[in-house]
Amino acid sequence: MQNRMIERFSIMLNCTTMNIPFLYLGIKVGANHRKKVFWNDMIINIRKRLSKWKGRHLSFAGRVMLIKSVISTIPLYYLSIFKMPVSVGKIIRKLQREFLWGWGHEGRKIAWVRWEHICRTKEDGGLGVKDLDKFNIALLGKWKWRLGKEEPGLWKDIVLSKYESWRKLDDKKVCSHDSWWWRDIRKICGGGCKENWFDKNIRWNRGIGNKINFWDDLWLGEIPLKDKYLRLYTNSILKKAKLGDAGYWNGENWVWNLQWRREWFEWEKDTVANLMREVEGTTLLRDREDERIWNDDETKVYTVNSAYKKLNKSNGTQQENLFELFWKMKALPSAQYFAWRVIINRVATYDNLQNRGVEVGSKVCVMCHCCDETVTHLFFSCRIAARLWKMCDSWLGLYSVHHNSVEIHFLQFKHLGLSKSCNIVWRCMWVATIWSIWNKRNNIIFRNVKVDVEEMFSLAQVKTWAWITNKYPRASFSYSDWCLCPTTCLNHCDSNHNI
Amino acid sequence: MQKVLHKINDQKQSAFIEGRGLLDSVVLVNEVIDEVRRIKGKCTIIKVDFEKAYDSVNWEFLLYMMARLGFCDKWIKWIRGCLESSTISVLVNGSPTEQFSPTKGLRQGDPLAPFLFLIVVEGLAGVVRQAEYKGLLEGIKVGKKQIPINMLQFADDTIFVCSPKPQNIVVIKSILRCFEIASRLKVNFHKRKYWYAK
Repeated sequence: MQNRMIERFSIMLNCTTMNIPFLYLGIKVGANHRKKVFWNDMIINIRKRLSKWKGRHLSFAGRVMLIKSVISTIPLYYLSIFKMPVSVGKIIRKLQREFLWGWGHEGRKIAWVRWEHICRTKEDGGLGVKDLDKFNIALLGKWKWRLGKEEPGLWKDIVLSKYESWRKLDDKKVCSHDSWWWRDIRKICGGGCKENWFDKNIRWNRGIGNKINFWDDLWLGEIPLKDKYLRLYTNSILKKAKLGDAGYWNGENWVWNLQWRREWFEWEKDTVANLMREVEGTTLLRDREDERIWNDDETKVYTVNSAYKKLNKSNGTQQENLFELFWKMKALPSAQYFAWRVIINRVATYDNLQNRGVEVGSKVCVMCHCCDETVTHLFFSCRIAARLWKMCDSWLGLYSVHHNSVEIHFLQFKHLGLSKSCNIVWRCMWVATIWSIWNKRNNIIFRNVKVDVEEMFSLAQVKTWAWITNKYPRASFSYSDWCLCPTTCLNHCDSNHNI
Repeated sequence: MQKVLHKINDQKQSAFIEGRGLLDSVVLVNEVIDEVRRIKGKCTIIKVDFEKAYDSVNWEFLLYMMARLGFCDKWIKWIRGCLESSTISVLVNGSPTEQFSPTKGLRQGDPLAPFLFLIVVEGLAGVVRQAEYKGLLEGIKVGKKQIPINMLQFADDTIFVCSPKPQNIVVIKSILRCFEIASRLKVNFHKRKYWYAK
């Protein structure tokens, strides 16, 4: 019966019939996005991109760049509407990781840095690659924000007609009429998630008191009144009271008048007095509506970016300064990324390899043949390395004792209070020296060349010169001048043009 | 022009207008289908594509629509000037032909073109609104407030949603036919698709 009707309709319109789900504006509509099949197209899409480039022709820096700008962005269109299932997230992460560490036909390689670490921001010691799960959450949070915002829109009329108010997202129970989309948003930033990051970042500005919930919302102090005065909350009659319900206007003055289920015991009276004291200092405003504010100093409005930053914040922050300086420097990207791996001790030295279960014959440093090879040894305390750093010092006209810890070694000149130009040279030189030590070390192992400190030093010098003259457009000086006195070169440009 | 568009264009249109986004209509369609499924209702969805939408816009229709939407004569004259002053030349076998002025169509890539196009397709929304008002076209009613919905537009990407009754189909067919004749936007019959959800 039904089929015949469809047939009749399609003949009438002269068109083809199809089934749900179908593609509307590039998105599959009407399918259940919780199933893995739904995401297959996207995964195939990403795979296709990867196999074309064949990561092996790119440096580590190049691969990071590609992941950031292409592979992480392909899914974004879907992610801004749908919650990605955990299994799909895993698949995508695996693809990204394999690409980053260059897994190809030869099979697995070592993933030196944990993916979570890579996803941290650059200032935080990571590489700033997007964590798609978290970004997904931030994107979906936008819908909740927009639902509560005062702006017209057909989509909002429809959604609100189905679910009444955006506050319904905070309900603890799922209703059988809720769509998958709604359930997911509820789970991510409403009553369904354990720690409600969204509500924590919402502040309210008092107006006439028609929208703010007296107990639940954050309009006074740092935590909602419900949490601060739990005992009083359980005793109040109107638990869902708006601000406007919790008092009355007496002429021009607003008077708070809360209603309780029973009289207070003697020992509770202090708490009540506290609450009243806290509340009494505030008043409602008659000339404007209540206003919702996103807890971000700059925008005050929900942006996906600020939400993502809040979600992606890690707790360790002591090295912030170091990485900020580190990424400000303009060196060759592949060298810089390598130096980054040195700082976080994720380089393929013998000891690191052994820790990861790779069979290495001898662990002795190939430069000096007397100690075991570790990152600190190879790059800093080794006889050869120490000589190299000494040469750097005398070239820059500095005298100092070098520290063996990587971070402090990199930062030490900042504390000496040198000029800006000297710092620039030092940082570039630092990366170049690390880079040339590593190249030398590999050449010794794989090509049987001899250690030559002079050569390593001049190599680093050339590199730094090339980087600085390339990346700082106004720095132009000859290589011979540079070798004679680098700081004067830079100072000269500095005073002229302000690089 | 951008500033007034959100006032004159129907809510069903969601392209190129401040404060309305691509994703809004996707979420909307998704919610509608979900709703229909959950209450075990019935609906037909008809997706319409226009053939070479930008190239075949009828200028007279555009200017007529502008007048209907309350643009003043001066504005219309300006727009006419913009349209008529353009010249094009075509590459035939690698060599350009002489320049000539087109008599229909909008130039893709012109910053003004999207807005003009919106004005054209607003004509379709207007007809649908009339049909709805006169009770000829019965949309799907969504949610507790029973908000009716019958058509969604994203520039030239149009979707009709209605309850599966022969009368509705006939109405939609005649609406499309009328719009086709008026605006010279040809409805692409091969691209017209039709779904039926239980």
